[in-house]
Amino acid sequence: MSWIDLLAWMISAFNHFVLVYFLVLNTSYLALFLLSLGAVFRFVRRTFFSDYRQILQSEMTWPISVLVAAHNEETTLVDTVRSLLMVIYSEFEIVVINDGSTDRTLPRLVDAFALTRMDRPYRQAIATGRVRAIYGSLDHPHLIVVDKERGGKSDALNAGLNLARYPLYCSIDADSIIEDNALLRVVKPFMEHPTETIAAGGIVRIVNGCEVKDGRVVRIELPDAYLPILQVLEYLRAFLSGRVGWSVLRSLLIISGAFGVYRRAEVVEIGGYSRDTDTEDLDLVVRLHRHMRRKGRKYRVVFVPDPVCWTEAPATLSVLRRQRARWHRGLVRTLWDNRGVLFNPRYGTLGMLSFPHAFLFEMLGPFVEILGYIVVASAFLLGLLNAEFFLLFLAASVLYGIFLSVAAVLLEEMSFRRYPGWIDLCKLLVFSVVENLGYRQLLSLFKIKALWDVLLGRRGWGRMERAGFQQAPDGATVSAAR
Amino acid sequence: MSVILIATIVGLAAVFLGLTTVIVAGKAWREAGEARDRTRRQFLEPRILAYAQAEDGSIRAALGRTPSARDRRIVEAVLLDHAQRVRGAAFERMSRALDELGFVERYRAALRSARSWRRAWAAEQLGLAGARRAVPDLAAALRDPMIDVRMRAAKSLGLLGGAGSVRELIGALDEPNRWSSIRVADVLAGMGKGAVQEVIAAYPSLGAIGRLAALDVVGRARPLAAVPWLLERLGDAAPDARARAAHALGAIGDPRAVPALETALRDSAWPVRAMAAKALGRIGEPEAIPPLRRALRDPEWWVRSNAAHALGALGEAGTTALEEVLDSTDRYARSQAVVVLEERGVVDARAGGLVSDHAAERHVAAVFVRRLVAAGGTERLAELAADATDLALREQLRAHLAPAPTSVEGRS
Repeated sequence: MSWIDLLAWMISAFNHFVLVYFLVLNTSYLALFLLSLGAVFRFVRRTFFSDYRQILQSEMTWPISVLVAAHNEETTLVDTVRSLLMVIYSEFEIVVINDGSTDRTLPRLVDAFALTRMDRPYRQAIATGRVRAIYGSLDHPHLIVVDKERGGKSDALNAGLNLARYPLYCSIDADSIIEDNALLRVVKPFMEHPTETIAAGGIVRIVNGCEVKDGRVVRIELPDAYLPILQVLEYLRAFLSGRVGWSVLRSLLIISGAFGVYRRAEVVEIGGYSRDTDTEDLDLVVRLHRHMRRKGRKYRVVFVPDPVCWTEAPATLSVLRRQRARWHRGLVRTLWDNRGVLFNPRYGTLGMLSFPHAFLFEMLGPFVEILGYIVVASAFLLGLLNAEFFLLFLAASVLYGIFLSVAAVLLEEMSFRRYPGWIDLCKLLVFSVVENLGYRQLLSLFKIKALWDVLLGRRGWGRMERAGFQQAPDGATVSAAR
Repeated sequence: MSVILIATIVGLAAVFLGLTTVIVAGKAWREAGEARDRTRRQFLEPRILAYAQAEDGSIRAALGRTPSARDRRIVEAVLLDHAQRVRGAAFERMSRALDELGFVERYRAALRSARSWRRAWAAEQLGLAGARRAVPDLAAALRDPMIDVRMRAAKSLGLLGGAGSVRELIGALDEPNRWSSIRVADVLAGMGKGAVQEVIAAYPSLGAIGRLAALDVVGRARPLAAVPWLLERLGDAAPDARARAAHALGAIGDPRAVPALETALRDSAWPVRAMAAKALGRIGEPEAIPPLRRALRDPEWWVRSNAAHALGALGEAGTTALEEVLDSTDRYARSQAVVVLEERGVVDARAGGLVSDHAAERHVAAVFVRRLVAAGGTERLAELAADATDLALREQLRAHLAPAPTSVEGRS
C-alpha cells in the first residue's frame, strides 16, 4: 500500500467516523426530545389542574430567599428588583449582592428603593470577600442589599447565602425577569418531595423583542434582529428538548444560573459556589450530584418546563462569542475537575449517560464537527469522496439538525405557545433551517476558541453589554434591545 | 450506498415537511375552531343565562333543540364558567342543567378512568357543577394514587360542603405530600367553624403529619373558641406541634394566650421559642416585653430575631425596651436591638432630635446616639452624618462618631 493509498484510507476512515458521530449525536438529541415530549405533556396536564392561586396565598407555603448577584447592572437591576417585589408569594426576602460595581448600580438601587445602611449581622458560613455595607429599606422590609468588594459572581452568591434566612433560596441573574407565579412553580417539586428535592430550575426565554412594563413582560414577540431569534430557537431546543429529557433521566447536569432554586443546607455543606470556575451554575449542580451520591442520600435535581425567566440575549456577535467562550471554558473545567464521574457506574445515569454525553458531544463535539466539515468538504473537492457520501454527511449533520430544531418548535407549539402570532411561528420555522446553516457552526468555532483558551489557562467573564429591557410607551425611557 | 442516501435524505426531508405541516395545520385548525366556538358562544350564552335567571323550565327547552356535540361542549363551558360566579337559585339551576344534560354522569364515569389526568379533571368538574350526589365518589377519590386527583377531589369536597365531605377531608390531612396537605388544610379552614370543630375533635386519631396539618387548619381559620385547645397543645410531646400551636395562637391574637406563650419562650426546642416570640409580637400585649427582652439573649438566632421584631411591633414601650437593650452586656442581644431600631426608622427619628429646639429633646437624642454608638450601631448614623440635609445634624453626628481622643499620658 503506497502512502497515498494510506492517506486516502485514513481520510475515508475519518469521514466515516464523522458521519457516524453526527448520526449518534443527533440521535441522542432525538432520544432526549422524545423523552421531553412525554414529560412536557404530562406537565401541561398536571399544571392545568394545579391550584397555584390558592397555594400562593397560603401562609403555609415554604418561605424562600431570592438572591440576585449584580456587577455593573445599572441598566436593568432596578427593573429586575421591581419585578421580584411584585412576585406573588406568601413569604420571601430578596437579597441583592452588589459585587463591587464600578457604575451607578448601587446609587440607583439606593434611590429607587430608599435604601439605608443597617447593622445587620453577617455570618460567614462560607468565606467571602469583604462586605462593605448592608442596606435595608423602610419601604420594602423584605429587601436587603449587600455591598461587597469585587469577588466574582460565585463570591457574591456565597455572600448572599450567608445572609439568606430561609431553608430554600433562589438565584436569579440581575438582567432577568421572572414571571409572577414562577417562584411557586419552581418551589412545587420541593413541596411535593420535601426530603428528596435539592435543586430545581425553570425555563429561560429570551426577552429581546418583548415589551416590558414595570418589571413585567406585557407583550411577547420575537425580536427583529437575526441573532436573538437564533438564540430563541437554541434556548427552546436546549431547555424544552434537552433539559426536560435529562431531568426525566435524573441526571440533569445544569440548572441555569439565571433562575434556579436550591436547598440552602446542602449548598452550604459543599462550601457554596466555587470561585474557581467560569460557570458557577454547572459546577454547583455537578458537585451537588457528587456530594449526594457519595453520601448515598436519595435526592432529586429537577427541571420544571413552565416557570419562565426572561433574560436578555447578546445582540452582537462579539458579545455572543464572549458569552459562549465563557460557558464552554466553564464546561471544560467542570468536566475535567469531575472526571472521576465519567463512566463510573457508582454515579448511575449521571456517570454512564449525562457525563459521557457532555464529554463527547458538548465538550469535544465542536472540535469533531468543525474538523469534520473541513475534512469532508476538502475530500469532496479533491475528488477523494463521492457526491453520495457528501450528501449523506450533509443529511446526517444539517438536515437531521433542522429536523430537531423544528421538533423543538413543535413541542413549544403543542405545549406552552408563548409566541401566539403567525409571523412569529413562520419566523421560528424559517430560522430552524437557518440555525443549522451557519449559526451552529459559528458557535462551534467559538467553543473551539474557548477550548484553546482553556489549554492556555485563560479565563474571565468578559464584558456583557446590555441595552436594557424594552419598555412599554408609558414606562421609563430605556432603549430597545432589538 | 445510493439507496441508503436517497432513503435518508427523502426520509428526513419528509419528516421535516411533515412536522412543519403538522405545526402550521395544527395552529390553523385550532384557531379556526376557537373562532367558530366564540361565534357560537355569543349565540348560546344569552339563552343559558336567561335559563339560569328563570324560575322554571328545562335547559333543553331554553336551548331550543337538542344541542350538537360542539354546542354541548360550549354549553358545558358556559355553565361551568358562570357556576363559579353565581350563588343561590341561579347556581342551583346551572347545577341542575349540567345534570340534565348528562354531564354529571359523564364526570362520575370519568372519575373511574384509567387515565389519571382524566380522573383529576372529573374530580374538579364535579365540584364546580355542585354535584352533591358525587360526594361518596369524591371521598373515594381522596384515596386515589395520584396526588392531582386527591387535590382536585379535596377542593371539590370543600365546594360541596356537608358533614361527609369534612370527615373525608380530615382523613386526607395525613397526606405526606406537603403541596397536597396545604390544599386540604386550606379547604378545611375555608369550610367554617363546624369543620374546624370536627378537625379538633379528630385530632387524637390523626397521625403525626395529620396533627400538624390540623394545627395549620386552626391557625388559618383563627376561631377564638379554639384558644383553650391550642393552649393545651403547647404541652404536646412533639416540638413541631407546640411550635404550630404557638403560631396559631399568635394568628388568633387572644391576650389570654400571653402567659402560656411566655412559658413557651423557655421551651427546650428553639422552633417553639421562635414561634412563641413571634406570636407575642402579633398579640401585642405590653406585659410580654420583659420575657421578650430575655429572649433576646437566646442562643438561637431565629429566636433573638423574632423577639427583637416582636418588641419592635409593641409600640413605644417595645421600642423603649429595645433602646434599653443597647446597654446589655450580651452582644447578640445588642446586635438584634440595633437591627430592629434601624429597620423601623427609630434611629432616623431619634437622631433628628439632636438639632431640636428643645434642650430636653436634644438630651434624649444625644443619650440615644451615644448608646447606639457604644452598641456598635454606626452604619445608619454614619450614612446620616454624610447625607443628612441639615448641616448642624451632620456635624453633631460626626462628633458622636469620631473616635474618642486618646490621652497623651496614657500612651507612655
